[in-house]
Amino acid sequence: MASGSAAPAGGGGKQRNYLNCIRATLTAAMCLENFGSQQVERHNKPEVEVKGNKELLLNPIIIARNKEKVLIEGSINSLRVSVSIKKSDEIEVVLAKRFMRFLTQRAENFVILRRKPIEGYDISFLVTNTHTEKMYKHKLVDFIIQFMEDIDKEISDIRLSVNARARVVAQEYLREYQ
Amino acid sequence: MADDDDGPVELEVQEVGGKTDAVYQSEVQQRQSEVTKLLNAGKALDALPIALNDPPTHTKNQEIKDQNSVIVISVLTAIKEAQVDQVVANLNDEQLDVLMKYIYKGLSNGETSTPLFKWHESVLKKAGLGSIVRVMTDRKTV
Repeated sequence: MASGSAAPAGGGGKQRNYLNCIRATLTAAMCLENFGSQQVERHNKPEVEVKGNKELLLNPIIIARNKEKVLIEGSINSLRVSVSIKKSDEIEVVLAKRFMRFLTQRAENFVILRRKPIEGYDISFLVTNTHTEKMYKHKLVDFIIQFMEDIDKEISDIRLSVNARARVVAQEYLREYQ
Repeated sequence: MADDDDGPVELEVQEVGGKTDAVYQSEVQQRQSEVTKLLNAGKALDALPIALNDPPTHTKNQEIKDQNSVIVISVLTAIKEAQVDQVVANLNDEQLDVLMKYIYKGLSNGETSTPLFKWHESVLKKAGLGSIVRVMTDRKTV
């Protein structure tokens, strides 16, 4: 993924603060260790999904900025990050939904992606201790932050191209009736 | 079975953490009046230790907690960005932890996010990642 998007001054600075806050919180929450299920022997389940025992769960944290927000739920062996994308108009609502569906259908290739987002959010990640054992923690955090940056850019690009295409199509079609 | 004849059990008054909800409520109101006095006088820096002192973490009543967080957030937004670092340097560890809890509480509703991000950054620099971990693990939420 290309790193370092060209952010405009002012607006980019605020987004930088938002992402830095999320980065710090993720780094703190991603301290995971292996913990077998306390209910069923020989089973190992991500506790943040099962939510069986209160003592294994951390307090959920929401970091919100205008319309976009991030929900970070932690536990002893897993972490769930849910992102709600900023959608400024109707067409972005549709685009975001389609784009997220495209990605979640290919969740296996993403490894840490969750197939269904949590209610109220557009997309969710589930990171377990097996992931942190195989992959670098700071790289996982980098991936999630980069993902959030790129999503915003991609959706506005798609919206621009949709509008441009629609304009061209309308011009060509109505040329007949001139 | 032992004879428990301690008398009638009072079920109306809920004592949590040694103080009843009514006591918490009056404390919050007292705090609110002190803090608004200082804010109107322009002394936001003095208002902060009062606002952070003794948060109602033990009560089960969400309204009292929300009221208190409104007070704290109003102090945080009143303090100018340039003074944030200096204020944070004067706080002790306990106050920093409470402050971090309130920062996250304020961030969860997303309206006052810009000043809160500045506060988050400078508390993080002073107290380190541990302060975030303590917010997430502490059962006594603010």
